[in-house]
Amino acid sequence: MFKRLFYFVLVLVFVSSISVCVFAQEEVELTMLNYLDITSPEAAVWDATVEAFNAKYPNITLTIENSFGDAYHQKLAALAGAGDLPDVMLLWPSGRSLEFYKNELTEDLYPFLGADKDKYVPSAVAPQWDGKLHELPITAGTACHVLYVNTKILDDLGLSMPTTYEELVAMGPTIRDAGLYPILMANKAAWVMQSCLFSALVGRIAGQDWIDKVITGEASFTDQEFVDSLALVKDMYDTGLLPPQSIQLEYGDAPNLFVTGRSPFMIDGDWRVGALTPLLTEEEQADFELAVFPDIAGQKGVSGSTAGVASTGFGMKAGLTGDKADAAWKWISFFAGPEASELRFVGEGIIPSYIMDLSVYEDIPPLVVKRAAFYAEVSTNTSVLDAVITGEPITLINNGLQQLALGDITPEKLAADIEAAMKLVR
Amino acid sequence: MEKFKRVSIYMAFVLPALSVYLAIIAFPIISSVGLSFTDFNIYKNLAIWTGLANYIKIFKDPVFWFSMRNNLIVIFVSVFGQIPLGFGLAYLIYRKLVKRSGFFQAMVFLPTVISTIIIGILWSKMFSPIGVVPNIIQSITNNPNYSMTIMNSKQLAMIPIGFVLLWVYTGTYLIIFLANLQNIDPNIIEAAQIDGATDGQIFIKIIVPQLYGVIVLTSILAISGSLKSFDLLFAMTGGGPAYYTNLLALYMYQKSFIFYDYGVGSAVSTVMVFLSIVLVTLIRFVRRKVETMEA
Repeated sequence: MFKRLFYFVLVLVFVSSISVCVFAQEEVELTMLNYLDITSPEAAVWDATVEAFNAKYPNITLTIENSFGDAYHQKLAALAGAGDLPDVMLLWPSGRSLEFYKNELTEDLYPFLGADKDKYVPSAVAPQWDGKLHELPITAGTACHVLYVNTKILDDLGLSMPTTYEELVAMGPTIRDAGLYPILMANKAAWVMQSCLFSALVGRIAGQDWIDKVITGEASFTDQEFVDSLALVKDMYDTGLLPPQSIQLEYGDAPNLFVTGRSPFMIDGDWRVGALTPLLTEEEQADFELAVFPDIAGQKGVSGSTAGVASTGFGMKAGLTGDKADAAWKWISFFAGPEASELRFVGEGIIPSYIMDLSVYEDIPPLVVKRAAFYAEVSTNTSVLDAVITGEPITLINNGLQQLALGDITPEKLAADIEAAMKLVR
Repeated sequence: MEKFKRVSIYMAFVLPALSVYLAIIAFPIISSVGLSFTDFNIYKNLAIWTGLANYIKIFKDPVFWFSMRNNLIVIFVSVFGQIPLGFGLAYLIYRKLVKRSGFFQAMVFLPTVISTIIIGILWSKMFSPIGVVPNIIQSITNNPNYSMTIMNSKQLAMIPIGFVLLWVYTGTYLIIFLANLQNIDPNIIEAAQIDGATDGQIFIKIIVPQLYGVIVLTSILAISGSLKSFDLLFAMTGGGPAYYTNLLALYMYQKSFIFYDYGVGSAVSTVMVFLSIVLVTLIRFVRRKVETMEA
């Protein structure tokens, strides 16, 4: 009897040992370069996302490095040059990340996505370069231009929402006399003016057809539509709608200034809702609206349009295999999947690329609800220039817009310079 | 045999340092000069000979010349600002013309021990439209709408940078000069005083000639340091607005790591090395001339 019991226990111990060996999950370390301003209010949602991932996959250790703005792109480029890319990194569908795709530095995600492709909105999982999916977008799209409005200030000043550019200009003196900035825009980083304002102006004044043509060389940057778009930026500075201080204002400073009532308008991307929401009580959020630039006389584009781009998401370094590749995909799909999407929707109002029923969520902050409604109100998205133009020409545009604002170059000269630079890369 | 032994010992001491020097300084410089004549693509690991095309490209670029101009301003501030100021402050301490000299010395030296990136961010915040400096000026002038436009000026944007450069690096030169001043035999100064020399005469006729070597050394340090200056401006302005505060090192960085144009980036770094050699040679030439005149 005891002998049989002994053998039974022995077999039990042996089977248990085998099970532990077979089912124990390997510890995997995943290096990551993330695009985040850790001092911004959005950082709270990011922390919650990482915490949820760690709880779901305790065997995967995330070694995260955060960077933001141009420093992020420069760091990623330096790492690529050194052959030392992290396992996963935040990437753009085109534009700023195109060099990585052209040089096959990232893995195609379609084989990992498989049948789950149907769980995402089709525009988000459309091919990005060479028929491949290099990053899994977290939203269906991003509106890079939003005119944020503080309606309480407008009411206090006896003003109403402008429907034309002329009306906006006419409001300037009243706003300035009240000691406020007419429009708040943090333009110290050169990309902001191009991404968040100028692209939308080109789309509105010249239209998307013209943008498509100028990229292929069927139209020229010296065309009157483009020169007029540049002239409008200059006019916004000349008329004082945008104060010269905006060229020295750090990108991270604008939300705080806006919520503390330093201006009735702020121009930024839709992602800024994530920064504004935590700074305002629910009652205060009732005074803030999301709109787009008013109509411009002679515009060929569609009234009410903004500039948009497919969204960012995480991609993985080319050549990852085995447990590393598996862990990388777990992070990428988690970040674009239902758990992280829920956190971003509730916290920042980001509409996910993952198809899910959003009506079940209650107690959503008013500004987040307004962001969701904003996408339905926008008539169309035109291209953001840095998504379709890369290299030296886009730097020329970014820097040129600052020179234009400071009165150091004419719209005609800048347009000619950009056309000359584009001719070399078309 | 004795000679062989001596050479072996000599080599044993020199070779480790020489090999490190060759590996991390000489090889990258030579490699960079080689790359500057190609259109090297790091991803394809392919370099095609392009001759002087990269040099022609940068010499035709107005941003390159503006960056060069800014670099010369930084060199000017370093050589004619930091060194005389550091020398003067060191002399004040040496002659005990200031009270609490230890505290004074620590205060001037303090910025030197802070990370340059932190200093860049700090001064960026100070000069920001909502920063401390404009706020102080607003209070003093009683003008709430005052804004600092100097940073937006193509011609004047380097002035605040020059001020920060003085603040950061003067302490380094103060320490170098103070250490060398303390090596001067006090009996010489005492003898001069007994002979009726004034403080000005002592400074010009005794102190300065004894420190010619240090002045040349600090000038070389200032020039080479200024030419490779990168981190402060990278953190403080990023070269902006537009390219108004760009330096050659920033320009090189942009070409190499933003546009992935390593050939052009290498051409810029070769020009920087060449410029450095020319300026250091010039300093040594001036020193020889002065010494000849003194003799």
